[in-house]
Amino acid sequence: MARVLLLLAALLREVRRESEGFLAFGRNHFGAFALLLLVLMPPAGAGLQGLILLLLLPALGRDPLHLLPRDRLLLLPLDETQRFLFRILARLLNPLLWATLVLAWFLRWNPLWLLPWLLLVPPLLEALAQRIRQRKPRQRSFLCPGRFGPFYLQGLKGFLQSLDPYLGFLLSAWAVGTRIWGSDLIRGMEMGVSLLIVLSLGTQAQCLLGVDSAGERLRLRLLPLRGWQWLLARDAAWLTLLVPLVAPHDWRVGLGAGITALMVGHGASLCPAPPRQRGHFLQGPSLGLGVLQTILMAAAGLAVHQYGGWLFLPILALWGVSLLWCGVRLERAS
Amino acid sequence: MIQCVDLHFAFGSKPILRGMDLHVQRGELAVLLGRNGAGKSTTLRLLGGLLRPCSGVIRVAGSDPFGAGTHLRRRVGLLPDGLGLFEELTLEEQLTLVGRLHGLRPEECDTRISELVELLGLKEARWGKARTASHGTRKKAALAMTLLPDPDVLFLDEPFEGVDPSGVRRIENLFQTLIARGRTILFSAHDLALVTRLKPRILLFDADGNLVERPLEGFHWQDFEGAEPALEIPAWLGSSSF
Repeated sequence: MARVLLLLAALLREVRRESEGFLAFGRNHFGAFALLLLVLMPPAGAGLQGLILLLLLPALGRDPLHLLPRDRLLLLPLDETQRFLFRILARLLNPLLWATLVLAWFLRWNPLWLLPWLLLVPPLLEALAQRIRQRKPRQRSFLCPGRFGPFYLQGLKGFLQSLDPYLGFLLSAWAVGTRIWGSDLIRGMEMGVSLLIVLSLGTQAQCLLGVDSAGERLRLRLLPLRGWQWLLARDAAWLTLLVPLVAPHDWRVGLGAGITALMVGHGASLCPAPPRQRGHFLQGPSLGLGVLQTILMAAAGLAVHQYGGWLFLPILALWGVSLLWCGVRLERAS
Repeated sequence: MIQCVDLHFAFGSKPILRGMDLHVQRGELAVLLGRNGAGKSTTLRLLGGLLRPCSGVIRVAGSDPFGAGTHLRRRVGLLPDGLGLFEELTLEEQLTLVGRLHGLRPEECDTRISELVELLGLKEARWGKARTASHGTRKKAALAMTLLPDPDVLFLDEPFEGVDPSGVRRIENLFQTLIARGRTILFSAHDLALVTRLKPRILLFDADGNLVERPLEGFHWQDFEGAEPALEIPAWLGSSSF
């Protein structure tokens, strides 16, 4: 046990130095969204509320174990029981786990009942993801046609590796279901639902290059690819995810807000952001940019709703300017 | 083909290159040698256009590689130290991605990929993800990505490191053929036996950090440090009893 404690103490020191735990909450729109949902949600949304609390909130924080290389852990003189114990206890070092417990207490759930769940679900999900990842790739690949087809597809795959689009899917499906089964809860709230979906994918729009690891970005800089082409391929992949999600609701508001989110996202994507972790929510470069993006995106969505589709013209023009400008900045970054 | 005049570069306040001059002709094979941290990888990254020099002039195929635009990217191939692989893609997928972005037609791209895979001994790794590949395979995959568009000038950062003997032999043959076909290659290496076999022009970062040319004959590993390094091994190392 002494060895496990020693290792936990070292990991705690690393977690403290990284100081990313609570920041993660502010750097993803989902943090604010989850808080809003948990505090203000009407009783009809209790199911979604519970799902978010149990499954998604711990996933927002980075797993403390990522700070310890897997190989190093295997090389340390620990037996299997000690290693298992360490893996479980290391999760207690995730600050967001404690935040979830506080919220559970606030919602009058029993934290003692939640704790084992919060400790066991992430490793189980991780083991499942590991199993999926270890599947042998097929000996043929689906390829999009055209010069940028494979590049677009690579971006799409990258976006699907973080949890953000799945939250959007959950919201969209929940709103469709509620409408079909006749609840009055969201009738006439299509615009709001569309904005929420854009919000849930908004952090990804701030990390358009976050899909690529440092090594991948290095390779892309070596290719005959203009900065604006790089951003455009990522925009197209992001919109591919967004459009089917907002289509059953107010698609015009969703698209207007989405293009505005991308407009802010181009600049934000050039700022250094925390590296992505598979199966977690992405984190944007800063809270300020997230707030700015949310305000502009909501304003654009409301304006399109109020004044009609012609507003797409100025929105598209501004998006084009941002694409070209940030593309040049991307090429000149060393 | 490659020209650097009075090149200075620093990472923050730490100077790496101080007034470096370098000239490599078309069709020449040259090697950068030097101790760890001497500036070999930085020089190759500067030549590949990934870094902007603090001062001085760089010309590769007549253009400044930093911010030269896409036309130079087609002519210059860089094998960077970080390899730059797409970890979640199979080798086939990454090569297709790179080939298409270089503007190769799908059929031409497929043919080139098959030939490169055969040439570099990557057949078994073709359908595996980069993340799961061995170090040597990753190196060869990155080299294949560099070679795919058939660049005019090649900057290769330690292309032989971690590669098995058969792979080393293949890459050596490839170098000789490319040079015979008029391509220019500048690479970095640490293996002096291999350098002796390839007979390139030797460019050495000496103990003071200056880039100097050395004749291949009589070249010795002590040239890296300038003096005999201390070889005192701590007494506890290799003395524990179990």
